[in-house]
Amino acid sequence: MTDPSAAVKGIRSVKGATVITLAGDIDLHHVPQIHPVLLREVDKKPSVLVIDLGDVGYMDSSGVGVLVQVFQRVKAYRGKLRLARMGPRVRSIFEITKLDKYFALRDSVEAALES
Amino acid sequence: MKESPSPGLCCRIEMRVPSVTGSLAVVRAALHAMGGAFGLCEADDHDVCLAVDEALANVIQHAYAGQSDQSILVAIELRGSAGDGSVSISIEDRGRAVRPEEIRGRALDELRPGGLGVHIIRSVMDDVEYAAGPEGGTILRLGKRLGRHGKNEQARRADASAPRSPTRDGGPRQRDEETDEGGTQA
Repeated sequence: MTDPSAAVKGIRSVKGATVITLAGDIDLHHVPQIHPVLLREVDKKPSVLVIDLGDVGYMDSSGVGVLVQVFQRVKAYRGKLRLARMGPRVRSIFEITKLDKYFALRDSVEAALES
Repeated sequence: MKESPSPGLCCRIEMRVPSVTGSLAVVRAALHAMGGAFGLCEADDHDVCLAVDEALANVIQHAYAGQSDQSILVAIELRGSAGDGSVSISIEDRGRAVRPEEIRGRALDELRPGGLGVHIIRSVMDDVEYAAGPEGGTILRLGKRLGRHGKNEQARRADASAPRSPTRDGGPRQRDEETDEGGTQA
């Protein structure tokens, strides 16, 4: 079990891309804290936005909903969103909801930055 | 998979939690502890936690509509062994009862936030039944056979995406969380 608190652990620019690192359990309780931070970064319209989920141990449908909204906004300005280091528990909810086919999933942040 | 502490064991816990989102992590922690002691595999443990989490979120958001001074009764019962047993869950609220005509399922062929919670519950649990509570509100009963993860389980989950007949989920009423609000829910 991971730390049940969730947070935006870091935001950095790498090779012109924005990398946001999330951590903890992303559920209905923590989404209101994460949601505005993600949308604020999206509003800056980075050409590539990488969300590092390697330290996220759990995500429910509210967390998925935020990522869907981010995806739609990035797509609207023709940017690219990549989800990196998604663990099996988080991946399973994307598979159950069949959303995994929409997102670009990468095994590492480095891979997400390359393509 | 670890062996259950004792084959044929029946473990039951009941929790009454406040109708606030902070209760989600508390209930998940209790489920993890119970599942770990029972020897549940990682997949079953996650499925149970996810289903209960989505159901509680649904109650907090929709049945109680954000009222934080209400309570939710959660009961979990594990029977048999982790490899060949079952889990039964009931989640009882006294919030707003939802009429079937007010709710609808959510197709997965469109990409948008909102309305995925009930689909998730149906995907990870074998039995889903909504019933009227004795003093108003709703009782959601969930059931799942344990230790079945594998190819058959994947096929069953795929089947959960298919349209459902009204009778498959039993119960006179259903609650869904279909919403057009977007944003913070899927």
